[in-house]
Amino acid sequence: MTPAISMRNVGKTYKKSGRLAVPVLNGLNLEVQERQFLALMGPSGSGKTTILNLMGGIDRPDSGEVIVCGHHLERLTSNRLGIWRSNNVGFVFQSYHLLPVLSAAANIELPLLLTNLSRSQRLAHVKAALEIVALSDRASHKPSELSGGQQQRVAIARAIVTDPKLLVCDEPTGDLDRSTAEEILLLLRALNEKYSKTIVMVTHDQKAADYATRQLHLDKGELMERATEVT
Amino acid sequence: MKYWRFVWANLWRKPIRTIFLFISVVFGFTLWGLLLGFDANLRRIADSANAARIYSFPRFGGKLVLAQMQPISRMHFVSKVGALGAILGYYQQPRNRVAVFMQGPGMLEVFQDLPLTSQQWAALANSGAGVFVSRLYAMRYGLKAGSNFPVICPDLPRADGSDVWTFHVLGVVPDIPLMPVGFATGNYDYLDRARREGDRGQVQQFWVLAVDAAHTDEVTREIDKWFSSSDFPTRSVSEKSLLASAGGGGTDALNAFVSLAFAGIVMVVIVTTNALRHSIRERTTELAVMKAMGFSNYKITAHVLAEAAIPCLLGCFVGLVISAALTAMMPRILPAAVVFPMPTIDLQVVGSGIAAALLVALLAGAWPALRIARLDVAAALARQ
Amino acid sequence: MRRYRQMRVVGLLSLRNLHTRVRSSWVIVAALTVVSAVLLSASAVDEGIKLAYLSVGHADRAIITSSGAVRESSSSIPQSWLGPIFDAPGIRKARDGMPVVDAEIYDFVGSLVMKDGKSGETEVRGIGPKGLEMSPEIKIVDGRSYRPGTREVLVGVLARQKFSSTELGDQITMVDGGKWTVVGHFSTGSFIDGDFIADPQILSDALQRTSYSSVLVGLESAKSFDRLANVLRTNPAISVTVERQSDFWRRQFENLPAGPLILDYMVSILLAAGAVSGILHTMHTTIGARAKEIAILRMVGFGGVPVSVAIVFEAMLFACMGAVIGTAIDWLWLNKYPLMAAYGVFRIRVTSHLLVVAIAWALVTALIGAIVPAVQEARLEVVDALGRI
Repeated sequence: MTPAISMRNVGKTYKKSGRLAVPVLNGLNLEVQERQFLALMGPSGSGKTTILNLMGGIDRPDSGEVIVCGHHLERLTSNRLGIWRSNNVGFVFQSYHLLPVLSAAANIELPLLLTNLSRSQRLAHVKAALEIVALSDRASHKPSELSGGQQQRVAIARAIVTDPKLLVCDEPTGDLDRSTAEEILLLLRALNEKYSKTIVMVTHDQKAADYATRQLHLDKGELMERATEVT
Repeated sequence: MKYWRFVWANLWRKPIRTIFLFISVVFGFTLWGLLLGFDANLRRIADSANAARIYSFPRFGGKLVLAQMQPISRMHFVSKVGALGAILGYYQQPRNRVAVFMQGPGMLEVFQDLPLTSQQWAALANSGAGVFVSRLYAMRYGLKAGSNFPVICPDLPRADGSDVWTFHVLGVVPDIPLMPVGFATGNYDYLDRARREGDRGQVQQFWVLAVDAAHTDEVTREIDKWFSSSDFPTRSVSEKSLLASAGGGGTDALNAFVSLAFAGIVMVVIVTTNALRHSIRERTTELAVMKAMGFSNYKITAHVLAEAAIPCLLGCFVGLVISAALTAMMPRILPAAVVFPMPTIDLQVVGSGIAAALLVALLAGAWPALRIARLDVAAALARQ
Repeated sequence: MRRYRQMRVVGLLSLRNLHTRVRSSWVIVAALTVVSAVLLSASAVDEGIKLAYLSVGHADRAIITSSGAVRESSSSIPQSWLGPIFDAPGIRKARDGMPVVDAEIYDFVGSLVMKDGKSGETEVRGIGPKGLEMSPEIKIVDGRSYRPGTREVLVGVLARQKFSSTELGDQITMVDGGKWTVVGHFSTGSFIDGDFIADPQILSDALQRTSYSSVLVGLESAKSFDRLANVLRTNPAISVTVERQSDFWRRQFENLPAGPLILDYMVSILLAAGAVSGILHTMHTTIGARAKEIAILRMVGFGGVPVSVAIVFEAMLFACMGAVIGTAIDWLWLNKYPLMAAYGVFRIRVTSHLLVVAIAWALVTALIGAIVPAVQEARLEVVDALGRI
């Protein structure tokens, strides 16, 4: 079976101004199958966010191949990458990154503006996404009028509204309390099991990682498989 | 259109700042409208000149006499001659200088652009102390049909010894480019009968029509040469060169107007650029998220330029409306002593305003566009 | 005292890290540069006109024009009036015993070509040798004076800058169509520098004039003016206006149209209003950027007033920078630039008192723009200030 994500011999180095280059990834190999829910863990600076950014097409490798949903991302131009992202990936961030001037519904509608859908079609998609995240009654609220958990639900709705195959989540429960974090993690699991989304989640929280179907630990550029317990 | 709500929402992100930006733009374009309106009117005045018409004035501030009409009418290439008297005095206070032009023999043919109907010309001829005033005069001095209009002229006493010439307003007529500060016009015969006997037969100016524009210079020289050694020497000038110099031609006035208008636009560019720059700075992470979602540099830049263009275009519209309103009110609100050609807010001024507004948006959006293109999505998101 | 001490501390703190806010406050500097440059350019033109007219006259000279003449161009003094004028008391005598007087002519020279190709006109003055002697401020800076009795002309230094064919040896066409040769350039420091000077007698013949425009008279002393004026004004054979030369030019200046001045003020007010809005916008933005610093100062114990005074002070400082830059731009670009107006050529003057005017405008503009956000900061509760971080 063709993996959803394939990273082959990937290298990535970061240069800070005036300092030496720091290699973050060196010959990394990783495959993620379709409909897998992968948790990437590791200490700070280990490169897990870098891997996420490469998979999501918002960063480029210095060497190697990154093949996601059948596309060689390292070969795409910036413009093509943008189009690819709009069709294939949804992003969920630790700080939600909602646009404060737009309502929840308008935030969710944002990725659909890149499509050719009519307004009524866009609204139908938004309604469906709100129902999935159970926030239909908060459609007209601005982010400042929502709790942290609700904002993250809106962010997830925005990530899935174009029905992408892949969701990349960077510490999605980092700013949430325990019970709210659990709600979000249950939602992600539902998206994986019920809606067949491939999910890659970076987290430092073992309890969050336990919601995934697969865990990888990254340290000093080395990936190690961890046994998973389904909760 | 589908991005309209997004652009509008971002414009009102910080309502107070948007309002200040808008006000600044409005002032800039009010200035634009007024100054380019002045420029437009001065050019209109110069363009309205009759290339075949000549004015002959007394050479050394003396006088001309009606008898000079005949030799002028017989000169080569002269088509028609008219005689104009004038009462140059003041209304109520010495600083309120007014000029009442008294239409004499021949003026009906030479001054066909005076906006009087044939009935009005006839009324003028039969009315004695009746005058028609233009709208600017009416607004400035509060006149209407039936008003009395007393003009005090110490240099031109009446036969009865008084220096007050009281006219009766017959009606208000449109203004003409040739007399950009407005006019009042009366009957030369009345002037001549009512003034002192020793002053009768005197004329303020002759208006001469050459057969065509090509012979204007020749006629001008011939008139002055003919009367140079007479008791009433003339100084003649074509309407075209007189209006060109009155409109600032041959002076730096026109350049000054346009330069000042551009100074106002520079102000708008400065403020709009600053506003946009701050807005982009504050939204770096949001812009990175949009790029992550798949919005191209082009689309994001277009949004940003729209955020600049909307206040610029709206401000331009409001500014031009205000300048048009000020233009209409100026004759009423300025002191009567302050007299100069009013601005004209014509299509060219409006068009140039719109073009300037769009240019401002483009200039203000240049830096944000560069910033967006260079935005490292991963680095911006890592700074969350 | 505590408040003043706090103001000093906050002020010094602001000055120390002023460089961190230059980028965000550049708009205040730039906006006031534009306002100052425009305001000053208009004022510099007015200043130039004023200096051009008011530097001309001297109290020991009188000028005689025909009664009722507003300007020299409308004055007409016939030959027959010269006798009574020359014989009047109070006039200085030259070594040869002849009165120091000069009957002068003033006329227009049209159809000149300006250096930018447009057509223009200026004035020609027939000033005789006695007139030139009486007017040491008319300095020949180039070439020589005209030879009496010839069609030679002197060109003012401003006229030379503005018009073509005004170099030594060039020919100028006068009103009569005749050609006159340029033999010298003169400078007076007044608006006469935009005119031409020629022999009044030759000029009169060429223009077929039968009268003079004015008579310039050298007084025995400044006090002898009254004696001269009384005699001439009461002489029934002539009808003249007698004025000190300085008073004559002051009257010319006061008769200039007021319209352009109103326009200057209108432009300046609109620009300043635009600048105030721009400053208000900037203040809101920079205060947002300084929210953390302001909140910490308030938390530590500084009062609202010292903080807001520092904000206003900083805005005024940037505004002053803009005023100085705007004045410098005007001085470099416009000072002594010859400007052609409807009433002659004169030099624009950017004087030091205009700098004071520019700074005053800038301070007022910045104060109006900064006072509202500053007062808002003063009234903010500490908890609200901290909430903004």
